Amino acid sequence: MLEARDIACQRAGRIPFAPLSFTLCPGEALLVTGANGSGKTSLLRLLAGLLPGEGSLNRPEPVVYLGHRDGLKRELSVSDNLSFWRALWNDRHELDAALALFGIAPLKERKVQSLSAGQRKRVDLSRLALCAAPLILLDEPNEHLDDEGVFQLVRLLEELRGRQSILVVAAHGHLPLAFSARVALS
Amino acid sequence: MTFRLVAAIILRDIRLNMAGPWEICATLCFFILIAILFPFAIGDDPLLLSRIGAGIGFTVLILASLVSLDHVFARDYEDGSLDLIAARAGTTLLVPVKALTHWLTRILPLLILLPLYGLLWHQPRLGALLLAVLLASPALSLLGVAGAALALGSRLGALLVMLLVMPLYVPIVIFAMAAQAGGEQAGGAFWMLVGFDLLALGTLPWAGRASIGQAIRFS
Repeated sequence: MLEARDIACQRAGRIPFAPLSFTLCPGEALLVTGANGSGKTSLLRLLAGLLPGEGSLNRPEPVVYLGHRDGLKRELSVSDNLSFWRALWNDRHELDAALALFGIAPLKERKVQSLSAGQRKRVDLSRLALCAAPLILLDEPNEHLDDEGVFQLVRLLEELRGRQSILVVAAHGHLPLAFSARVALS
Repeated sequence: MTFRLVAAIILRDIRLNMAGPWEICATLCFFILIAILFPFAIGDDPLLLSRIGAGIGFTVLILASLVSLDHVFARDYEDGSLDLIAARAGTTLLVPVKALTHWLTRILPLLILLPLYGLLWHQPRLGALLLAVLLASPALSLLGVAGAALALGSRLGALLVMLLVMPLYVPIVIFAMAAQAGGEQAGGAFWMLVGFDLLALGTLPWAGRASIGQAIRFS
């Protein structure tokens, strides 16, 4: 269970959002919306433990955090990047199955620097199938994705919810997922 | 941080170094060029070269190992890998892990070149010089990588790393030179180098963790 009571943080000397409280049970999903600079990324980084904050936060471990910067090494192939992710998560799933979820299995041996922004995003998101975490934090996961990519993403997120993972998703555009709760930052 | 993850970080960083090997080549070329340049400046008297060669060789090796040291964490910091690793496994072991990669990709190639340097500079105690550099190098790598962690996110980058790290190299240089010179004090100096390695290994991971954590907070 993810329990946040009056959580807040400071970023560059300012407080990006008012203290927040929410509780999420396993299998639930929270959508975080708000204008640019409203603190969506700061909230996710706070939940990931990357930013110090105030208030009380009880979260399950381990945490997957996929932010704006994808952490993919441009000089390496897709399979090398995903193999590193599997080592990070001590995961034994097949790479091909994860890539097939986003229709990018043919890109397996391509270097990341040769991929388009949308293809890189699909590689980034395919990592969700290569880890088992009770809390998943996604910062604008639908960015750069076409309609088919968004459909594949939603299908994967539904599957992760079915496995009792808690999802916290910050998004700008429409994401057709049945969220349990919404937080609008201003 | 599991053994599998430690091995994965080292292998990934070695692959990245191999994907762009010009940095390793630049380090080696820097060492070779300086080693060749000095005799043109000071003359090629074998007696003079053998007397000052060890000190110059060690100093040039240190300078060469500092080339691109600021990249050790900067790339992971800029592309978000550091966030992924920190959120999953923490950052305590990152300094020793990155120091090992730095040693393998920067110091080891220089150590392999050192015998050739010893022959060119008429070094009478080449074995002792190699052993002294070998024992000093882990502390050099750990200090350098910890300095790179401290300079993370700074605009000064490489220059700041050098300014932070080079004063701390002074005692290591003194004892390494005492060790390779032979005589009564050599044994104690070798043990001092081992002591520096252990001291660096025992303290710098924690300093590095604090520096990396601070940089992540401001990213």
